[in-house]
Amino acid sequence: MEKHGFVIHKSSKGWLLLTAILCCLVIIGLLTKNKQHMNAAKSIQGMLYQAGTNAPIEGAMVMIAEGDFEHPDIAAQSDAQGRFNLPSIQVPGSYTLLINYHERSKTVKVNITGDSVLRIAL
Amino acid sequence: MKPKTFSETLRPKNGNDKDPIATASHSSLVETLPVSPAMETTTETEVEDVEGLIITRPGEADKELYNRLDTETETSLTESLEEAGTEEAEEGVMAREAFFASYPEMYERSVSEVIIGTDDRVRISPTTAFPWRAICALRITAKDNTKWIGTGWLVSPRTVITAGHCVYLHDHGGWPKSIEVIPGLNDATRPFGSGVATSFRSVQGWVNSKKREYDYGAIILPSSRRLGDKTGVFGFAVRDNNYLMNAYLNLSGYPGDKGGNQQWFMARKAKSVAPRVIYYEIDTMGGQSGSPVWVKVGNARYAVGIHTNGFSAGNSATRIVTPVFNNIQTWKNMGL
Repeated sequence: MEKHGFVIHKSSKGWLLLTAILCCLVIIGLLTKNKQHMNAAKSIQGMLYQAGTNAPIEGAMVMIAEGDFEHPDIAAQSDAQGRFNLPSIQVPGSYTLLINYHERSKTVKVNITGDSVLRIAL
Repeated sequence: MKPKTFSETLRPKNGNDKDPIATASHSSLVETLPVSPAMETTTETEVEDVEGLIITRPGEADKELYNRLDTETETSLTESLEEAGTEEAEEGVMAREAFFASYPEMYERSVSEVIIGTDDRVRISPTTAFPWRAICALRITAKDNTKWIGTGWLVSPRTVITAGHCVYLHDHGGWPKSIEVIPGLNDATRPFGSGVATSFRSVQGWVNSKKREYDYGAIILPSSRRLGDKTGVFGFAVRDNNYLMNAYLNLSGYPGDKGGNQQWFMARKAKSVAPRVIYYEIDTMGGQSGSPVWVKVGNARYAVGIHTNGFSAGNSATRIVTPVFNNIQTWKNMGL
Protein backbone atom coordinates (compact mmCIF):
# COMPACT_ATOMS: atom_id res chain seq x y z
CA MET A 1 0.00 0.00 0.00
CA GLU A 2 2.79 2.33 0.97
CA LYS A 3 4.60 1.57 -2.21
CA HIS A 4 1.45 2.14 -4.24
CA GLY A 5 0.88 5.44 -2.44
CA PHE A 6 4.42 6.49 -3.22
CA VAL A 7 3.87 5.82 -6.90
CA ILE A 8 0.69 7.89 -6.91
CA HIS A 9 2.46 10.70 -5.09
CA LYS A 10 5.33 10.62 -7.57
CA SER A 11 2.90 10.61 -10.48
CA SER A 12 1.08 13.67 -9.06
CA LYS A 13 4.39 15.49 -8.80
CA GLY A 14 5.11 14.69 -12.40
CA TRP A 15 1.79 16.03 -13.55
CA LEU A 16 2.31 19.14 -11.47
CA LEU A 17 5.70 19.71 -13.08
CA LEU A 18 4.29 19.11 -16.54
CA THR A 19 1.43 21.54 -15.90
CA ALA A 20 3.87 24.16 -14.64
CA ILE A 21 6.03 23.79 -17.74
CA LEU A 22 3.00 24.06 -20.01
CA CYS A 23 1.81 27.16 -18.16
CA CYS A 24 5.25 28.74 -18.59
CA LEU A 25 5.22 27.95 -22.30
CA VAL A 26 1.75 29.47 -22.71
CA ILE A 27 2.78 32.63 -20.83
CA ILE A 28 5.96 32.96 -22.90
CA GLY A 29 3.91 32.46 -26.06
CA LEU A 30 1.42 35.12 -25.07
CA LEU A 31 4.17 37.57 -24.16
CA THR A 32 5.94 36.97 -27.46
CA LYS A 33 2.71 37.43 -29.39
CA ASN A 34 1.97 40.62 -27.50
CA LYS A 35 5.44 41.96 -28.19
CA GLN A 36 5.11 41.14 -31.87
CA HIS A 37 1.78 42.91 -31.90
CA MET A 38 3.20 45.94 -30.14
CA ASN A 39 5.89 46.22 -32.77
CA ALA A 40 3.56 45.44 -35.64
CA ALA A 41 2.52 48.99 -36.54
CA LYS A 42 4.85 51.96 -36.41
CA SER A 43 5.32 55.39 -37.93
CA ILE A 44 8.68 55.57 -39.67
CA GLN A 45 10.84 58.69 -39.94
CA GLY A 46 12.72 59.76 -43.01
CA MET A 47 14.61 62.61 -44.60
CA LEU A 48 14.71 63.95 -48.15
CA TYR A 49 17.73 65.75 -49.52
CA GLN A 50 19.14 66.98 -52.80
CA ALA A 51 21.59 64.58 -54.35
CA GLY A 52 24.92 66.35 -54.70
CA THR A 53 24.25 69.30 -52.41
CA ASN A 54 22.75 67.37 -49.49
CA ALA A 55 20.34 70.28 -49.02
CA PRO A 56 17.07 69.26 -47.32
CA ILE A 57 13.93 69.22 -49.48
CA GLU A 58 10.90 70.94 -48.03
CA GLY A 59 7.29 70.49 -49.11
CA ALA A 60 7.61 67.15 -50.90
CA MET A 61 4.69 64.72 -50.68
CA VAL A 62 5.63 61.26 -49.50
CA MET A 63 3.21 58.36 -49.67
CA ILE A 64 3.10 54.60 -49.86
CA ALA A 65 2.29 53.37 -53.34
CA GLU A 66 2.53 49.67 -52.63
CA GLY A 67 3.52 47.42 -49.80
CA ASP A 68 3.45 44.04 -48.16
CA PHE A 69 0.64 45.22 -45.89
CA GLU A 70 -2.44 47.39 -45.95
CA HIS A 71 -1.55 50.99 -45.13
CA PRO A 72 -3.33 54.25 -44.30
CA ASP A 73 -3.89 56.29 -47.48
CA ILE A 74 -2.60 59.54 -46.01
CA ALA A 75 0.34 61.49 -47.46
CA ALA A 76 3.10 63.21 -45.52
CA GLN A 77 4.76 66.52 -46.30
CA SER A 78 8.44 67.07 -45.63
CA ASP A 79 9.39 70.00 -43.37
CA ALA A 80 12.13 72.63 -43.69
CA GLN A 81 14.73 70.10 -42.59
CA GLY A 82 13.49 67.61 -45.19
CA ARG A 83 12.04 65.40 -42.48
CA PHE A 84 8.90 63.36 -43.03
CA ASN A 85 7.08 60.49 -41.41
CA LEU A 86 5.34 57.55 -42.96
CA PRO A 87 1.98 56.78 -41.39
CA SER A 88 1.64 53.90 -38.97
CA ILE A 89 2.54 50.82 -41.01
CA GLN A 90 3.25 47.16 -40.37
CA VAL A 91 6.95 46.46 -39.89
CA PRO A 92 9.11 44.75 -40.87
CA GLY A 93 7.92 44.98 -44.45
CA SER A 94 8.76 45.99 -47.96
CA TYR A 95 7.14 49.15 -49.31
CA THR A 96 7.29 51.24 -52.47
CA LEU A 97 7.29 54.93 -51.64
CA LEU A 98 6.18 57.58 -54.07
CA ILE A 99 7.72 61.00 -53.58
CA ASN A 100 6.16 63.93 -55.37
CA TYR A 101 8.25 67.07 -55.43
CA HIS A 102 7.13 70.00 -57.55
CA GLU A 103 6.67 68.52 -61.03
CA ARG A 104 8.90 65.55 -60.34
CA SER A 105 8.14 62.20 -58.84
CA LYS A 106 10.27 59.30 -57.74
CA THR A 107 9.48 55.81 -56.55
CA VAL A 108 11.72 54.09 -54.05
CA LYS A 109 11.43 50.52 -52.83
CA VAL A 110 12.49 50.15 -49.21
CA ASN A 111 12.68 47.34 -46.71
CA ILE A 112 11.57 48.82 -43.43
CA THR A 113 12.27 47.48 -39.97
CA GLY A 114 11.07 48.88 -36.67
CA ASP A 115 14.09 51.12 -36.21
CA SER A 116 14.49 52.25 -39.82
CA VAL A 117 15.26 55.90 -40.55
CA LEU A 118 15.04 56.54 -44.26
CA ARG A 119 17.45 58.88 -46.04
CA ILE A 120 16.36 59.47 -49.61
CA ALA A 121 18.21 61.55 -52.19
CA LEU A 122 16.22 63.22 -54.96
CA MET B 1 2.96 63.62 -67.89
CA LYS B 2 0.60 66.41 -67.00
CA PRO B 3 -2.84 64.99 -66.26
CA LYS B 4 -5.43 65.53 -68.94
CA THR B 5 -8.59 67.21 -67.82
CA PHE B 6 -12.07 67.59 -69.11
CA SER B 7 -14.31 70.51 -68.49
CA GLU B 8 -17.55 68.66 -69.09
CA THR B 9 -18.96 67.36 -65.88
CA LEU B 10 -18.45 63.67 -65.49
CA ARG B 11 -21.38 61.42 -64.83
CA PRO B 12 -20.23 58.50 -62.67
CA LYS B 13 -20.89 55.10 -64.14
CA ASN B 14 -23.04 54.03 -61.27
CA GLY B 15 -25.82 52.87 -63.51
CA ASN B 16 -28.48 53.91 -61.05
CA ASP B 17 -30.36 55.94 -63.61
CA LYS B 18 -30.70 52.95 -65.92
CA ASP B 19 -31.46 50.15 -63.55
CA PRO B 20 -31.92 51.56 -60.09
CA ILE B 21 -30.97 49.24 -57.30
CA ALA B 22 -32.94 51.28 -54.83
CA THR B 23 -35.52 53.41 -56.51
CA ALA B 24 -36.56 55.66 -53.68
CA SER B 25 -35.16 57.13 -50.55
CA HIS B 26 -38.42 57.50 -48.70
CA SER B 27 -38.66 56.52 -45.08
CA SER B 28 -40.46 53.23 -45.61
CA LEU B 29 -37.55 51.91 -47.62
CA VAL B 30 -35.08 53.29 -45.14
CA GLU B 31 -36.69 51.70 -42.15
CA THR B 32 -36.80 48.29 -43.71
CA LEU B 33 -33.17 48.24 -44.76
CA PRO B 34 -31.70 45.02 -43.50
CA VAL B 35 -29.12 45.37 -40.79
CA SER B 36 -27.56 42.03 -40.12
CA PRO B 37 -27.71 40.99 -36.47
CA ALA B 38 -24.39 39.25 -37.06
CA MET B 39 -22.92 42.60 -38.01
CA GLU B 40 -23.99 44.09 -34.72
CA THR B 41 -22.67 41.14 -32.77
CA THR B 42 -19.31 41.33 -34.47
CA THR B 43 -19.14 45.04 -33.84
CA GLU B 44 -19.78 44.72 -30.16
CA THR B 45 -17.38 41.85 -29.52
CA GLU B 46 -14.38 42.94 -31.53
CA VAL B 47 -12.05 44.12 -28.82
CA GLU B 48 -8.35 43.90 -29.12
CA ASP B 49 -5.75 44.49 -26.49
CA VAL B 50 -2.97 46.56 -28.02
CA GLU B 51 -0.13 47.31 -25.67
CA GLY B 52 0.12 50.97 -24.85
CA LEU B 53 -3.51 51.52 -25.69
CA ILE B 54 -6.58 51.35 -23.52
CA ILE B 55 -8.75 48.28 -23.87
CA THR B 56 -12.11 49.16 -25.31
CA ARG B 57 -14.94 47.33 -23.60
CA PRO B 58 -17.36 45.38 -25.75
CA GLY B 59 -20.03 47.66 -27.11
CA GLU B 60 -18.00 50.81 -26.60
CA ALA B 61 -15.90 50.77 -29.76
CA ASP B 62 -18.22 53.23 -31.48
CA LYS B 63 -18.48 55.47 -28.44
CA GLU B 64 -17.63 59.01 -29.40
CA LEU B 65 -14.41 60.68 -28.28
CA TYR B 66 -13.41 64.28 -28.88
CA ASN B 67 -10.70 66.82 -28.13
CA ARG B 68 -12.96 69.76 -27.30
CA LEU B 69 -16.63 70.39 -26.87
CA ASP B 70 -17.13 74.08 -27.46
CA THR B 71 -19.26 75.53 -30.27
CA GLU B 72 -21.42 72.46 -30.41
CA THR B 73 -25.04 71.74 -29.77
CA GLU B 74 -26.11 68.21 -28.98
CA THR B 75 -29.35 67.08 -30.58
CA SER B 76 -31.15 63.79 -30.43
CA LEU B 77 -30.49 61.05 -32.94
CA THR B 78 -32.97 60.10 -35.57
CA GLU B 79 -33.91 56.51 -36.25
CA SER B 80 -33.32 56.89 -39.97
CA LEU B 81 -30.66 54.82 -41.67
CA GLU B 82 -30.44 57.21 -44.57
CA GLU B 83 -29.67 60.89 -44.41
CA ALA B 84 -30.22 62.90 -47.55
CA GLY B 85 -27.77 65.45 -48.90
CA THR B 86 -28.91 68.90 -49.87
CA GLU B 87 -27.78 69.54 -53.39
CA GLU B 88 -29.38 68.33 -56.58
CA ALA B 89 -27.25 66.98 -59.37
CA GLU B 90 -26.50 69.43 -62.13
CA GLU B 91 -24.49 67.38 -64.51
CA GLY B 92 -25.60 65.79 -67.72
CA VAL B 93 -25.90 62.06 -67.98
CA MET B 94 -23.00 60.31 -69.62
CA ALA B 95 -21.67 56.88 -68.79
CA ARG B 96 -18.00 56.88 -67.98
CA GLU B 97 -16.98 54.33 -70.58
CA ALA B 98 -19.05 56.15 -73.16
CA PHE B 99 -17.33 59.36 -72.29
CA PHE B 100 -13.88 57.87 -72.78
CA ALA B 101 -14.97 56.10 -75.96
CA SER B 102 -15.90 59.49 -77.35
CA TYR B 103 -12.88 61.30 -75.96
CA PRO B 104 -10.03 58.79 -75.78
CA GLU B 105 -7.51 61.61 -75.52
CA MET B 106 -9.03 62.45 -72.14
CA TYR B 107 -8.03 59.11 -70.75
CA GLU B 108 -4.77 59.24 -68.89
CA ARG B 109 -2.84 56.15 -67.93
CA SER B 110 -0.27 56.83 -65.31
CA VAL B 111 2.95 54.93 -65.52
CA SER B 112 4.60 56.57 -62.56
CA GLU B 113 2.44 55.03 -59.87
CA VAL B 114 1.94 51.56 -58.61
CA ILE B 115 -1.75 51.09 -58.05
CA ILE B 116 -4.13 48.29 -58.93
CA GLY B 117 -3.49 47.58 -62.58
CA THR B 118 -3.54 50.76 -64.64
CA ASP B 119 -4.49 54.10 -63.18
CA ASP B 120 -8.11 54.72 -64.09
CA ARG B 121 -8.61 57.90 -62.12
CA VAL B 122 -9.82 60.99 -63.93
CA ARG B 123 -9.33 64.57 -62.90
CA ILE B 124 -12.32 66.62 -61.86
CA SER B 125 -12.01 70.16 -63.17
CA PRO B 126 -13.69 72.47 -62.50
CA THR B 127 -14.73 71.40 -59.05
CA THR B 128 -17.49 73.94 -58.60
CA ALA B 129 -20.39 71.57 -59.39
CA PHE B 130 -21.98 69.27 -56.84
CA PRO B 131 -20.89 66.79 -55.51
CA TRP B 132 -17.26 67.66 -56.23
CA ARG B 133 -17.45 70.96 -54.37
CA ALA B 134 -18.54 69.16 -51.18
CA ILE B 135 -15.28 67.19 -51.20
CA CYS B 136 -12.49 68.91 -49.30
CA ALA B 137 -8.71 68.83 -49.35
CA LEU B 138 -7.34 68.60 -45.82
CA ARG B 139 -4.08 70.13 -44.61
CA ILE B 140 -3.32 68.49 -41.29
CA THR B 141 -0.84 69.82 -38.74
CA ALA B 142 -0.27 67.16 -36.11
CA LYS B 143 0.50 67.89 -32.47
CA ASP B 144 4.19 67.21 -33.15
CA ASN B 145 4.08 69.70 -36.08
CA THR B 146 4.36 67.01 -38.75
CA LYS B 147 2.30 67.86 -41.84
CA TRP B 148 -0.10 65.55 -43.62
CA ILE B 149 -2.67 65.72 -46.38
CA GLY B 150 -6.01 63.95 -46.54
CA THR B 151 -9.56 64.33 -47.84
CA GLY B 152 -12.95 64.92 -46.22
CA TRP B 153 -16.56 65.56 -47.20
CA LEU B 154 -19.19 67.89 -45.87
CA VAL B 155 -22.35 66.50 -44.27
CA SER B 156 -23.56 69.78 -42.79
CA PRO B 157 -22.46 73.43 -42.99
CA ARG B 158 -19.65 72.92 -40.47
CA THR B 159 -19.12 69.14 -40.28
CA VAL B 160 -16.56 67.33 -42.39
CA ILE B 161 -16.36 63.52 -42.26
CA THR B 162 -12.97 61.90 -42.78
CA ALA B 163 -10.79 58.98 -41.74
CA GLY B 164 -10.06 58.48 -38.06
CA HIS B 165 -6.35 58.56 -38.82
CA CYS B 166 -6.75 62.10 -40.18
CA VAL B 167 -8.17 63.41 -36.89
CA TYR B 168 -6.29 61.19 -34.44
CA LEU B 169 -2.68 60.33 -35.29
CA HIS B 170 -1.52 57.86 -32.65
CA ASP B 171 2.21 58.25 -33.26
CA HIS B 172 2.10 62.03 -33.68
CA GLY B 173 0.46 63.37 -30.54
CA GLY B 174 -3.12 62.17 -31.04
CA TRP B 175 -5.59 64.95 -31.88
CA PRO B 176 -4.01 67.36 -34.39
CA LYS B 177 -3.16 70.98 -33.67
CA SER B 178 -5.32 72.07 -36.58
CA ILE B 179 -6.76 71.00 -39.90
CA GLU B 180 -7.37 73.37 -42.78
CA VAL B 181 -10.45 72.35 -44.80
CA ILE B 182 -10.56 73.45 -48.46
CA PRO B 183 -13.73 72.46 -50.35
CA GLY B 184 -13.37 72.00 -54.10
CA LEU B 185 -9.69 72.93 -54.15
CA ASN B 186 -8.56 73.05 -57.76
CA ASP B 187 -4.84 73.76 -58.11
CA ALA B 188 -4.40 77.24 -56.63
CA THR B 189 -8.13 78.05 -56.83
CA ARG B 190 -10.18 77.86 -53.65
CA PRO B 191 -13.68 78.50 -55.02
CA PHE B 192 -15.36 78.31 -51.62
CA GLY B 193 -12.54 79.57 -49.41
CA SER B 194 -11.32 77.46 -46.53
CA GLY B 195 -11.61 77.08 -42.77
CA VAL B 196 -9.21 76.04 -40.03
CA ALA B 197 -10.65 73.67 -37.44
CA THR B 198 -9.40 72.65 -34.01
CA SER B 199 -12.39 70.57 -32.91
CA PHE B 200 -12.32 66.88 -33.81
CA ARG B 201 -14.31 63.70 -33.21
CA SER B 202 -13.62 60.00 -33.49
CA VAL B 203 -14.53 56.85 -31.57
CA GLN B 204 -12.97 54.63 -28.92
CA GLY B 205 -12.42 51.79 -31.38
CA TRP B 206 -9.99 54.02 -33.24
CA VAL B 207 -8.57 56.32 -30.55
CA ASN B 208 -8.07 53.69 -27.86
CA SER B 209 -7.73 50.48 -29.84
CA LYS B 210 -6.53 51.64 -33.26
CA LYS B 211 -8.84 49.17 -34.95
CA ARG B 212 -9.07 49.53 -38.69
CA GLU B 213 -12.82 48.83 -38.58
CA TYR B 214 -13.36 52.00 -36.52
CA ASP B 215 -11.15 54.30 -38.58
CA TYR B 216 -13.51 57.26 -38.99
CA GLY B 217 -13.97 60.69 -37.51
CA ALA B 218 -15.15 64.24 -38.01
CA ILE B 219 -13.93 67.80 -38.14
CA ILE B 220 -16.18 70.50 -36.68
CA LEU B 221 -15.49 73.87 -38.29
CA PRO B 222 -15.79 77.11 -36.30
CA SER B 223 -19.16 78.84 -36.38
CA SER B 224 -17.77 81.53 -38.69
CA ARG B 225 -16.85 78.98 -41.37
CA ARG B 226 -20.11 77.51 -42.66
CA LEU B 227 -18.54 76.08 -45.80
CA GLY B 228 -21.33 73.58 -46.41
CA ASP B 229 -23.81 76.42 -46.91
CA LYS B 230 -22.08 77.21 -50.19
CA THR B 231 -21.21 73.73 -51.35
CA GLY B 232 -24.17 71.55 -50.40
CA VAL B 233 -23.61 68.38 -48.45
CA PHE B 234 -23.47 64.63 -48.93
CA GLY B 235 -26.14 62.29 -47.68
CA PHE B 236 -25.08 59.07 -46.00
CA ALA B 237 -26.75 55.72 -45.58
CA VAL B 238 -26.47 52.16 -44.35
CA ARG B 239 -26.68 49.63 -47.15
CA ASP B 240 -26.68 45.82 -47.01
CA ASN B 241 -24.10 43.50 -48.57
CA ASN B 242 -26.16 42.71 -51.64
CA TYR B 243 -26.71 46.37 -52.40
CA LEU B 244 -23.04 47.26 -51.96
CA MET B 245 -21.88 44.39 -54.17
CA ASN B 246 -24.18 45.44 -56.99
CA ALA B 247 -23.86 49.21 -56.92
CA TYR B 248 -21.14 51.24 -58.54
CA LEU B 249 -19.10 52.92 -55.84
CA ASN B 250 -17.83 56.43 -56.54
CA LEU B 251 -14.70 57.80 -54.89
CA SER B 252 -13.14 61.22 -55.32
CA GLY B 253 -10.35 62.86 -53.36
CA TYR B 254 -7.02 64.67 -53.33
CA PRO B 255 -4.16 62.25 -54.04
CA GLY B 256 -0.61 63.28 -53.16
CA ASP B 257 0.84 61.80 -56.33
CA LYS B 258 -1.04 64.53 -58.21
CA GLY B 259 0.30 67.19 -55.89
CA GLY B 260 -2.58 67.14 -53.40
CA ASN B 261 -4.26 70.17 -54.99
CA GLN B 262 -6.33 68.38 -57.63
CA GLN B 263 -9.43 66.27 -57.24
CA TRP B 264 -9.38 62.85 -58.89
CA PHE B 265 -12.31 60.50 -59.32
CA MET B 266 -12.98 56.86 -60.10
CA ALA B 267 -15.98 54.53 -59.93
CA ARG B 268 -16.15 50.75 -59.80
CA LYS B 269 -18.10 47.97 -58.17
CA ALA B 270 -17.00 46.60 -54.80
CA LYS B 271 -14.63 43.66 -54.72
CA SER B 272 -15.98 42.36 -51.42
CA VAL B 273 -17.67 43.54 -48.28
CA ALA B 274 -17.01 42.70 -44.66
CA PRO B 275 -19.15 43.61 -41.65
CA ARG B 276 -17.30 46.90 -41.16
CA VAL B 277 -15.17 47.30 -44.29
CA ILE B 278 -15.79 47.66 -48.04
CA TYR B 279 -13.03 46.46 -50.39
CA TYR B 280 -12.68 47.71 -53.97
CA GLU B 281 -10.23 48.13 -56.80
CA ILE B 282 -10.81 51.83 -57.17
CA ASP B 283 -7.39 53.38 -57.62
CA THR B 284 -6.30 55.64 -54.79
CA MET B 285 -3.09 57.13 -53.46
CA GLY B 286 -1.85 58.75 -50.26
CA GLY B 287 -3.88 61.87 -49.57
CA GLN B 288 -7.20 60.26 -50.43
CA SER B 289 -7.77 59.02 -46.89
CA GLY B 290 -11.16 60.25 -45.76
CA SER B 291 -12.65 60.47 -49.26
CA PRO B 292 -16.34 59.70 -49.57
CA VAL B 293 -17.31 56.38 -51.11
CA TRP B 294 -20.81 57.02 -52.35
CA VAL B 295 -23.67 55.67 -54.42
CA LYS B 296 -25.93 57.77 -56.57
CA VAL B 297 -29.65 57.08 -56.44
CA GLY B 298 -31.51 59.30 -58.84
CA ASN B 299 -30.13 62.73 -58.10
CA ALA B 300 -29.21 61.95 -54.53
CA ARG B 301 -25.77 60.95 -53.30
CA TYR B 302 -25.35 58.73 -50.27
CA ALA B 303 -21.96 58.01 -48.78
CA VAL B 304 -21.71 54.36 -47.78
CA GLY B 305 -18.07 54.34 -46.76
CA ILE B 306 -15.06 56.44 -45.80
CA HIS B 307 -11.91 55.59 -47.73
CA THR B 308 -9.03 54.82 -45.39
CA ASN B 309 -6.57 52.22 -46.65
CA GLY B 310 -4.52 51.30 -49.66
CA PHE B 311 -3.33 47.82 -50.57
CA SER B 312 -2.46 46.15 -53.84
CA ALA B 313 -4.96 43.36 -53.16
CA GLY B 314 -7.77 45.89 -52.70
CA ASN B 315 -8.19 49.38 -51.31
CA SER B 316 -10.78 49.79 -48.61
CA ALA B 317 -13.20 52.00 -46.76
CA THR B 318 -14.67 52.00 -43.30
CA ARG B 319 -18.23 50.91 -43.96
CA ILE B 320 -21.12 53.05 -42.75
CA VAL B 321 -23.06 50.66 -40.55
CA THR B 322 -25.66 51.68 -38.00
CA PRO B 323 -23.31 52.79 -35.19
CA VAL B 324 -21.19 54.73 -37.70
CA PHE B 325 -24.32 56.25 -39.18
CA ASN B 326 -25.49 57.33 -35.73
CA ASN B 327 -22.18 59.00 -34.96
CA ILE B 328 -22.11 60.80 -38.30
CA GLN B 329 -25.66 61.95 -37.62
CA THR B 330 -24.62 63.31 -34.21
CA TRP B 331 -21.59 65.06 -35.68
CA LYS B 332 -23.69 66.42 -38.51
CA ASN B 333 -26.03 68.01 -35.98
CA MET B 334 -23.06 69.61 -34.22
CA GLY B 335 -22.22 71.48 -37.39
CA LEU B 336 -25.67 72.79 -38.26
